[in-house]
Amino acid sequence: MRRGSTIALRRLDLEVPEGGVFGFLGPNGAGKTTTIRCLLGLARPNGGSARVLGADVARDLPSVIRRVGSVVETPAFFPHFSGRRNLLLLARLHGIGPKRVNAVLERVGLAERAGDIVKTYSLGMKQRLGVGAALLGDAEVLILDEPANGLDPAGIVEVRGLLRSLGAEGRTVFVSSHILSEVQQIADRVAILARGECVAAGPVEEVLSAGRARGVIVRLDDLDAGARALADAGLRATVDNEALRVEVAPSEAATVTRILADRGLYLTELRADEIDLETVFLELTADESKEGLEA
Amino acid sequence: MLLSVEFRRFAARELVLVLVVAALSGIGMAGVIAAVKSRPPVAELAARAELRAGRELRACLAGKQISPDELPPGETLEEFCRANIRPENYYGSQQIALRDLPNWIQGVSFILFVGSLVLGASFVGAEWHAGTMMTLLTWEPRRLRVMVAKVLACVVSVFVLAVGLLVALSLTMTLVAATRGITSGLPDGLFGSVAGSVLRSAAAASLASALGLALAMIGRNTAAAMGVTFGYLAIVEGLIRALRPGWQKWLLGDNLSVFIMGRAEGFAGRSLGGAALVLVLYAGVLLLAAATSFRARDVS
Repeated sequence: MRRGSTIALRRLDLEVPEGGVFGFLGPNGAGKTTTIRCLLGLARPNGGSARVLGADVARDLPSVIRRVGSVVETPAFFPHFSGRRNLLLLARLHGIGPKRVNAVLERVGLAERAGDIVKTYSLGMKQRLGVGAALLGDAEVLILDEPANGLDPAGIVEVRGLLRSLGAEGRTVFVSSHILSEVQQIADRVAILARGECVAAGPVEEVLSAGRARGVIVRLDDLDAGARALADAGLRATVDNEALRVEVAPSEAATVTRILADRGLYLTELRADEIDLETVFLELTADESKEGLEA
Repeated sequence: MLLSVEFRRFAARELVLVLVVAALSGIGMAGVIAAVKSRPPVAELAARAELRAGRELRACLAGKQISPDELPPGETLEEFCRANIRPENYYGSQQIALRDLPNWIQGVSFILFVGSLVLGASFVGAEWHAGTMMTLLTWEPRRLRVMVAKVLACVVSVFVLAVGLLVALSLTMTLVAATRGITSGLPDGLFGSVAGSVLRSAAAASLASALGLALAMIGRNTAAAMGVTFGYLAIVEGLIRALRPGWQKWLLGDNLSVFIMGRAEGFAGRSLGGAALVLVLYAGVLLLAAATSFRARDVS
């Protein structure tokens, strides 16, 4: 996929399994929205192909579009029409009645303001309306571009719950986001995009463990003595931020306790060194972030 | 469904409401001004006009006003003189005369043309500006269908609105003429002439909306479409008229004038049918270019 002299997407080979929430991550300009545009037929790639629900996007998207709900970037609506009227117009395109519109407005928490013109809505409310529009058709696949963008913390929690429940209902929710902690909490699988290429993809646990080996964090009074004791037992331990980081699976934490106790060293803290998606994300996209800063 | 949604959206637009209210207010004001300025002819004025018309008719029949080779084809000198010289012509300009109704309709056609151009251009220009075109395409990805629905909704709605406004104008001026002006001496076929003027002006308005829509679809912007149209009509066509008079019969403005005035005798080198054909051809080419651009370009 090329935009002028810039290649927006390159060798992106991605398969989203049916059902569940799929997180699509990447820094700004990585190509997330371009990918979504390609999936919805809004942009045409120079090469390659995309399929949604088995249909080739370039040729057969209209045959499956009723089964797909989407939000691309900030949802756009007619600013001088009310939220309800905007949804009614869209619903009418697919023969959906006003009852469903009211139910959706209720579900996204806009029932009370549905009669107000969209111009008066906050970004968060527009975002909710966008999610509402995507839900109108009872879609099997939801493609949502940054659905939590502009929402307040309570709204983010609501959207998180909504996406999780939609995934649990058996729908396929493809959600792009830069709020990594959100994705980690709701997604079953993720893909990380950098410079138009997919740098990691798979179940969240797999992607997390691919970032670097897991370990345990140990706190005790004499860090150097602890490191020596563990090294003697064949375990690699490094002093890190007034604690020892031991390269051993968290399930093997008892071994660490025993080795240290045998040497008369007693722990003040022992916890798993959990790697979050944010760390993996930053590691995998480190070059791009650096280039962005330099630019 | 798509077509019905587009019709609903057009009808619900704020700009449509604003322009219709402005047009109705203008018609109302024109009616009031005409009623205030027009005075019903008094007997003395009628007698004077009768006398002058008799004098002019005699001069005409004597061949002093038109030579036989200038007569319209198939018309005798007497037929021509009696059809064109009537006492009502000599009442002066202080009376609103019902026989001038086709001229009033043609006179407001330019305003209608401009208003329709704005409506057509903003119908899609506003969608590009607000980003709703993208939302719509995620519901209906067949872009040609979207384009056709928009064009149909726009030109049909504008035609209906234009007919309604011109009928309102005609009724208002008829009322003024009946109460404060002259309704006698109406030429044969006035109703047909009025109906023709209304339909041609409304068709020209529809055409303007199609041109505006097509340009806004290509430029993805209302202001660009308006700028291009007015720049072309005022500058390009003006230059062509001055530098290449032979090309005049191909100009949009000239063909539009022929079409609105309904002159069949070859004004600007065009017949009425020829002008209509040229206008439809221009609109068709522009719409085709717009559809091609809409289908080919990415939407962001």
